Amino acid sequence: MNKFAIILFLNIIPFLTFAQDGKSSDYFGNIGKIYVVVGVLMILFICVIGLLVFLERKLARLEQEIHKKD
Amino acid sequence: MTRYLKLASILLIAYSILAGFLIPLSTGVLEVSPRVAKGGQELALSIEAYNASFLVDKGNYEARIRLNPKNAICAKKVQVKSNSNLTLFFDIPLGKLPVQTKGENGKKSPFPLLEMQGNNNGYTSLESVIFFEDSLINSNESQAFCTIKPYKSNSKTTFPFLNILEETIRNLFYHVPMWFAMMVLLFISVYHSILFLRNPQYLEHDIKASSYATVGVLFGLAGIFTGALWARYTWGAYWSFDVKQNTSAVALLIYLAYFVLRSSFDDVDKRGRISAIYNIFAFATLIPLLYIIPRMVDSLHPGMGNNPAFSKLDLDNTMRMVFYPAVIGWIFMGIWISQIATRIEKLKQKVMEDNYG
Repeated sequence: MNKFAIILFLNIIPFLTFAQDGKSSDYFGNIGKIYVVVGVLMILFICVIGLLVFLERKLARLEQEIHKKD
Repeated sequence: MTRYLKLASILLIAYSILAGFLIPLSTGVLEVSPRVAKGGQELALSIEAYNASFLVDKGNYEARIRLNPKNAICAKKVQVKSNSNLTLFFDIPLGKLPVQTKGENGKKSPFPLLEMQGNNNGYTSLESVIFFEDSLINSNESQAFCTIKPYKSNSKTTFPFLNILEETIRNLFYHVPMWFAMMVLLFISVYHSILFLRNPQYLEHDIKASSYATVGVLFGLAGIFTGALWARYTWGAYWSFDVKQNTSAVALLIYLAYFVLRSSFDDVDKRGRISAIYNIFAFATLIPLLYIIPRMVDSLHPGMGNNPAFSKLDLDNTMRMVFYPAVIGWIFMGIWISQIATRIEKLKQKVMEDNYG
């Protein structure tokens, strides 16, 4: 398992380092940097999901309290 | 009432995402060469454009280089190579060219300004397009400038093209509303804190103040993260220690201390009173940190220091049609989430009272 994780990580490195400041080599800089906008929307999505998880955990704790009383 | 608020938030955000992605950018100039020209020379200016379809406009595409508001050199020939490439031919007159170097209101002068227009591509311009080396020979003949007829404004619905920003101009609908929503939520939070200080017997105000602050700070964090990603592709780094970035980070840290303060009290009344007072002070520092200090010094962020700001975009009516709905939608969404958090917290208070009280 550990070996597999290391191999996976080493395989990802070239893709990460591929992002140079060049014009077409940078995936995010392609097509007028439209993927930056997609990335920004993804961040918003993750933040809203984070809020949902936060609220859900609060509710779960409440449910436990109610169960304890019963 | 709240049902309409929720519906409006969903519809407005959906509209802002759809319209923000579907409306295309106007034609823009990516690269021009050469950038230097001499008097008396026949200049062949090759242009690489973004989002252009020059082949459709072939034959009736016009171009000119404006030297000042009154004079311009018009292209004598336009050679279209492909949809995104064309070459403009100019006859540069001899003698000293009357290029206006001083801008209005202390701004940078846009001249020599390249202006192009076609039926399909609309109007395109690029500031400071070329540097003219003045020829020493003064010609006797009058300089050959063409008359300036006004170019039509774009008939299609497009967002403006700005170099460096390019498509990321759409982030205006997703990054800026976060800060608007954060300000509104934190303001509601402070309002409830003040109400709690006036009537300490109503614990509901304290609960509301903390829920609105939680959601507001999360919107602020979303604003910082989206801003960092945007900055990576326009300013060059995720975090360039710009004043605006630093002060907003400090403002959020001050609010994080609010939550630490809240969690350090067991007594509900004491916690309510002290955190309400802290909340008022935190909000009072937020205004200078976000809106006053960044404007006093130079910053990369638009609207600060000597920066030309988003004035060009703010005046663009197409962007307003998407930007304002996005702001209202995200504010409503924030209020909706805060109300859910308030309800959960109230239930918790009640369960605690029933169990241990």
